[in-house]
Amino acid sequence: MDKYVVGLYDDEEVLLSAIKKVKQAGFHIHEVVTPFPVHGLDDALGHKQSRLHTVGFVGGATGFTIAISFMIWASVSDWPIIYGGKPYLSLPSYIPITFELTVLFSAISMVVAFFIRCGLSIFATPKIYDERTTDYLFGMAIKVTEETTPDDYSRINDTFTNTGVAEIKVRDFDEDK
Amino acid sequence: MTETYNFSSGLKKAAAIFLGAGLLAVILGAFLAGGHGIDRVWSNLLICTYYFTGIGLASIFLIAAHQIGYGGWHVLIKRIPEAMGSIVPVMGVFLLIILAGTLFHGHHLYFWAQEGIYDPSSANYDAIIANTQGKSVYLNSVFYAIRIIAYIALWSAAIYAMRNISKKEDVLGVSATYQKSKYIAAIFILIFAVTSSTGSWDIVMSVDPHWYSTLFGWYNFASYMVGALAVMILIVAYLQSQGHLKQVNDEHYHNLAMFMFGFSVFYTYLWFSQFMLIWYGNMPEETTYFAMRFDNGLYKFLFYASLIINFFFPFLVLMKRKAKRNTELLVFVAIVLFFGHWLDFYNMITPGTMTDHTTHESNAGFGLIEFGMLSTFIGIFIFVVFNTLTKQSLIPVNNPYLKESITHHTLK
Repeated sequence: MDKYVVGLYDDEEVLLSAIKKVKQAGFHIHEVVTPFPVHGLDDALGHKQSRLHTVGFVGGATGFTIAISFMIWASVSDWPIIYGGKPYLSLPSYIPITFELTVLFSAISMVVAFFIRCGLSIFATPKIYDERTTDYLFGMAIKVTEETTPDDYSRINDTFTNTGVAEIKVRDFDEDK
Repeated sequence: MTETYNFSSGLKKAAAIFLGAGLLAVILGAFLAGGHGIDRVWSNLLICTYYFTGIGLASIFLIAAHQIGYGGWHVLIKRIPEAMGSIVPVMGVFLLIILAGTLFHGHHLYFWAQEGIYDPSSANYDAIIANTQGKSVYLNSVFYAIRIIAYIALWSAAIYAMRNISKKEDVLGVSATYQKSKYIAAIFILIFAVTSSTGSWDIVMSVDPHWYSTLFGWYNFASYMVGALAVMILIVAYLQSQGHLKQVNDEHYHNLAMFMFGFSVFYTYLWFSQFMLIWYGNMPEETTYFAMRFDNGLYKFLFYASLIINFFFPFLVLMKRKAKRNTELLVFVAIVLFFGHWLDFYNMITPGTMTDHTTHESNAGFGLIEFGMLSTFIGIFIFVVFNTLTKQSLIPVNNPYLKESITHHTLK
């Protein structure tokens, strides 16, 4: 069962204060979707620091190692040729390509990791709570299960209403199938 | 909101100690060094004058670039780079002293400034500069003097205009100054774009008149830009330790550190671009520059040391987000980089100025005179910059981006 109660807000300041109140009421916020980056949202949701740059570092280190080891292997042991009167192992001439591959691997690994982590990989179906969240509304989704009683629904509704919500809707992704 | 700064007597004392101890060390060093002591003093005067001129110009450049680029985060600390710009006219005096020495042959910094260098009948005639490269049009005393005086005048005037409009903003309000401050910033960048390059050729590159590099100006710019950012971090941290600038927080340090990290990488990029083309091309008139630095133990050591200090050290240390937000660590990195780029300028200038042109032997040294001169200039710098800081509010209260700067934060 993939079902959410979604509170739609039309102002980011209201949204930020609403997040605090909803958390205080004891609900777990599954996700918040906004049409543009909202400053302070990460802190309000209690998100930890992104680990994306670690992926970038590992990717960059991989690219660096591949580039430099391939060039050393190729020009020293596999096919040694003297060019420009330089020794076989001349590190300065490897640096530009090493730099390029470091940047390339770092960038691509970060993009791929970002897409996978955000559920935007090729075969994934994106979860759109409401199409207007890509335009002018801010959505806050609370996950509901079979165990959620009608009493809980009304409590969620009350909490949303108390925080100045613009609209409340229930989104069931099972219906799409 | 207005915050005034008072130049504390403790800092004045510290500056006086830097200045006095530095001067003493220079004088003592010059006596101990014997024959070439005076040459070393002149050479170090040139190094420090150029480094601190660059620091002043680069900090104003940072402000100007933010001003025309609608930048806002820097507004809280804007007055510090502005005050750092006030060092440029003072350094102009030292540039004039060096210029007088060049014109009246008081020193041997500029090999091309000797009498009869373009005269085939003279003993000083240098066929490479005069004939092969034909540099007499550019490297002659009259045109050189005009250029140096023009730089000092243009830089001082532009920096005065930048600081003046910012001071006026506090009194007259933003509507009277905003548009004008953008024009002035644009004009400053226009002046700086040309003079930072030509200035580096005239003041630094012409100590090696046989050699030239077209990206030398940008390489110099990147070097003193890192120095300027390092000094900025040190001054902000110092002012905060004295209870000023309470709204400056980790976010602003983070941005300054990102700039310092970025410009360190940019510096290395230009350093390497210059080195690799010369190394690959392997043409005698170009490789002479690096040959000079590799034949001498001191220069060779500094050549590698400056690469480690100015690239590997900041690159590895400042890479992590946490490091950029750790003020103590940042202060340490800033001090190291400040010295690192001073060493870089030492290695740019000294081989050209301290090499005997007939025997090709280096008379350079590294000791009392070098550290003494740097200490003297740090003393002067503290006096001038902190005195300027007292003259206006530490926070530009009428700046439209002030709120943006206070609430500034970098995404995680």
